[in-house]
Order: sequence, then structure tokens, then C-alpha cells
Amino acid sequence: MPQKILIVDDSRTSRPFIQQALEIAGLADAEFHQAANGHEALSKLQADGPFTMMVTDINMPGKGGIELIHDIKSLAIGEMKIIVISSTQSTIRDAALKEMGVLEVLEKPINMPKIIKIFAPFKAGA
Amino acid sequence: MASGLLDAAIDQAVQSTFETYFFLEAIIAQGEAPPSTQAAWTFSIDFRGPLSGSLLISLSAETARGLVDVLPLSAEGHEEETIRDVFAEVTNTIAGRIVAALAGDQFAFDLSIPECSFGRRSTSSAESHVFQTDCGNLEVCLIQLDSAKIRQGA
Repeated sequence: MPQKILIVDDSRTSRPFIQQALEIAGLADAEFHQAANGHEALSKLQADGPFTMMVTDINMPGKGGIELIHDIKSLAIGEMKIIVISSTQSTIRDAALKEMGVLEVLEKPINMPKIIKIFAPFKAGA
Repeated sequence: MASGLLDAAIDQAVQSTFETYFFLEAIIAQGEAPPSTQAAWTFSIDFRGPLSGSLLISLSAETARGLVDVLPLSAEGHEEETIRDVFAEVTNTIAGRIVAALAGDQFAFDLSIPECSFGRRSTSSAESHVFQTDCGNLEVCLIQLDSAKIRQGA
């Protein structure tokens, strides 16, 4: 079954890059949606869901990625794999995110070999 | 202040970010940056955590356009918006790498949303690091840094 993926990033130029990276990683048949911040993401999750996966930035205006993840958990918006992409590295923060159910925390800019490894299990037919 | 550590963190962050974003080298320019009356883009970001401060990145409009042209972006005719967007991301990434190099990854940091302005370059009392790229120079400086907590012995 194809994945339905929400990409959340305030950077208009980053979102297509992230989508392209996921397509190269084997998710070319996925249905992709985009949101520019946490507020927009939450609206899409509630209006267009369920999604199978969400890839989100952390540092965004308005509602950031961590607050978005908290909201998703408290609102119980379906089961969904969550991957975080961040400009900063913090083992403490990453451990807390994984406790919340985040699958992986990736560093910006995207590292293709790591993306391919993480998303390989989600390819169609995998 | 452990200036050697600070300089190395800035240099490494800028160089690695340019390699991974633009596939270009950003070479450390020797000597001081000449004062410029040329209008320039300036991107700033604040970071708060065990270390606090601000990062400023300044580059001419021509350099910014040249670097954005290197990227495989679709030509949508929104040049200024694209420049703001791309360099907000670059500033974010460079700041993240600098704080990780200075304080280690055992801490959590807050980064502000990058801000940008375009106009006459303002001089800063902080020492600028000047980098040369194939598209022109850019200046990077850290200001208001709480140096007392810079991790020793990197």
C-alpha cells in the first residue's frame, strides 16, 4: 500500500528537496503533501488524514516541530511514523523525541545514504 | 576566550555547510574584510542554551544570486523570496553546527527563526570571518557570545 506522507518545513525550497530525497530512497509512489508550519500541518492531518508518515522540521514560525508532535500525541491523530529533521544536534532532545515515538532525528542538510537506509523498510513491496 | 576553538567552529561549520548545500568550497579569505558600501543581504539568527549569542551572515546581492543559481531549483520568478528562503536555511544550518561544535551535543539549544534584511552593510565590532566562494565573498560573525562556557579542549 503506498505511503501518504506529510512534509512540514517553513522553507519553500527545502520541501521539494525532502520529497525528492524520499522519492530517491524508494518512495516515488507515495502521495506527498506539504505544510509550511505546525499549524498548517495540524490542519492537514485532521482534514486530509490519515497519513502514514510525517517528516518535520523543528524550527518553524508559529508552531514548531516539537509542539506539533506534542499536539499529535495529545489529539491522538492516528498512527503515523514521524521523522524529524533539525539544524541542531542534541542527544538529550533526540532521546526525548524518541520517547515520544519519533522514529528518527536527522541532521540538516539531508544525508542521502542515511535517508535511503531509514526509509528502505517503507518502500512498496519491502 | 578560546578564540582558536571559536574560529575553528565557525570555519568548519561554514565550509561543511557550503559543501553539502551548494557543492562549493568556501575558502577562508586571508586578511580583513574591506569595508563595503555595497548593498548586501544580512541574515541573523539567535541561539539560546548553555551558550547564547547571535550569528550574522552577510553577502552581496550578486553573490546571493550566484549561489542560489547553483541550486537545482525551478525558476519561479521569485528571486528575492528564494534568496531569503535558501539563506535562512543556510544560516540555520551553520548556526546549528557552530553551537554543536562549541558546546557539544549533550545540550538542547533554541534557535530563533532567521531574520533577514537587505541594505547597506552595517559594520560590527565583532571580528568577521570572510569566506571566498566561486560566486563571491560572504562574511560571518558571532556576536554577544557568552564565552565563559565554551567547551574546552575540543
